[in-house]
Amino acid sequence: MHANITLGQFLPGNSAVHRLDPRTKILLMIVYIVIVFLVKTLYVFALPTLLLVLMFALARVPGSYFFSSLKPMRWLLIFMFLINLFATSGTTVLFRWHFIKITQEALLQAVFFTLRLVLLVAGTSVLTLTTSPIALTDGLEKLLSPLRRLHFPAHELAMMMTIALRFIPTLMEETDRIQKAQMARGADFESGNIIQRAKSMIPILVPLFVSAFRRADELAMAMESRCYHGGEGRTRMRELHLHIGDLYAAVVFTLFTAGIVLLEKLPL
Amino acid sequence: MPILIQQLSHTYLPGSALAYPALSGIDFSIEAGEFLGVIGHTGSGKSTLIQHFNGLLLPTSGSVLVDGLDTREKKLRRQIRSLVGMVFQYPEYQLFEETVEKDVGFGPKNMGLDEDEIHERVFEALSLVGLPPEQFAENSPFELSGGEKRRAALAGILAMRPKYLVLDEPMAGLDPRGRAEILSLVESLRKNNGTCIVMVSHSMDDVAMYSDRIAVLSGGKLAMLGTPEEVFSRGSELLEMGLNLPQATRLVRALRERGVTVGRDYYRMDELEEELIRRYGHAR
Repeated sequence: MHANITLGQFLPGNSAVHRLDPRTKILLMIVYIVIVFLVKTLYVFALPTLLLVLMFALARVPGSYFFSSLKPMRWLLIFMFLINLFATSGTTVLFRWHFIKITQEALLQAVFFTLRLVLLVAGTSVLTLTTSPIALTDGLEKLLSPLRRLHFPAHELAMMMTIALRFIPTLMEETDRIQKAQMARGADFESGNIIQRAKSMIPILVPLFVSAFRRADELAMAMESRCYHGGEGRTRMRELHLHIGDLYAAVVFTLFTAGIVLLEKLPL
Repeated sequence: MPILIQQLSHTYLPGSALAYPALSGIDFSIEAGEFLGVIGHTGSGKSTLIQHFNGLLLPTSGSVLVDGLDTREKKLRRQIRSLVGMVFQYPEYQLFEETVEKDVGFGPKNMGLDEDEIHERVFEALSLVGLPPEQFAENSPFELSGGEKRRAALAGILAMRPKYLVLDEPMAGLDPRGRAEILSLVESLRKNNGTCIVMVSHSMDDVAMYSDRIAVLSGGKLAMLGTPEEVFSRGSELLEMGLNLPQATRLVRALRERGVTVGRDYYRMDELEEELIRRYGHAR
């Protein structure tokens, strides 16, 4: 039942984008988000759009992933578009029917906000498409490690994220199994009102929690018996290294940022 | 009335890139009151097959009829699930209630029985599995030992008084005594109540000992179906499928290789023991 749920959306590959250091990718993604918000005029969106196309092309991600990354957001996108379309006031009326009025300003604003959201979602999906969850947490740990001086538990946080990610598929399987076992005992999860349905989840949730605690216990034991004691002095099997590609990527993003700032400042 | 499995095929995630045919063209029937052993290598489709018997999985093509009731019929599913009791691997992980009594009563309650009937069935089931109700009914299921939990979970299925009892590796992870207890319980259910038993197991000895018939699955197909004699006489084929042979059969093979005469093939240790003593006992 849950076998079709893939964790995250990582698309294994060996493209230029895949090979970038996860730290670079996380930082550049933050830059990307900032520059999308820097854009104030519609036509300047050409630059982040170009950047997005470039990222997809270099990552060798099929274009279909562009749409599938937007799919979970489709209702929000449609809702945003419609709200902006009908609720923005303006002077140049394009269309009028009874009380419904669409103005040119509203249309532009609707397109503007929708485009911004599309660029944000699709752009950030490049990060998750090309970076494995493990690499992502590794990168995050490294980026946050300077905060250790302030007693911020960077390593522990990354370890918790890794473990959480690791257990999602396991718990899904477990849920499926418990659900089937209870269904075999005549449990019904499909009928009844919302309260009855919520109640019918108890036979699944209780065993699921019990087994999650059991697994956590076993994992803790296994980690301790292998002398795990946190991040202090711990080396890694795969060290993160910055390569020349990371420099190129940073340069490209800097150029785009500069371009956008310039275009926004220019009195066109 | 039997469970009829007709041209059953099952594909996981049909139509997607991950489509995986788990069963194809399975065709046989399970007679009321028989003990059917199901064996097969990991991934041969055993678990997929048995989940069709009570409509937890539905055929991609073909059909499964339980006493003439089609599992694809949504309205019949509740009735089918009370006819076919299913004990999954590690059933103790399905316990959830505050007391053993409530947990065992979960199935009967879902069947819509009244309080008195549920109470009676719960006490009967608990006694059957060897957990005296006076002692265990009010305990939390989470306080029981591993073996007791397993038996409490089993009682939860038995309280539904299924006509067919399907067990997926019921002895996994139990010590020898626990295994023997479960096996003798299952065997007594069949003797006393005429319950049909379908048991998936990796232990060839258990299957050889108790089964009337054995179904051998390999690569999602029904490779063999017959009495233990018939199935285990085709030892080389079983070994090729990555399956083992019962200890007695292996011993007969080993003895023959060393030139010891054994009357026929054996698959039960107790019978072989008798034969060997009869034949060679006097020579001591």
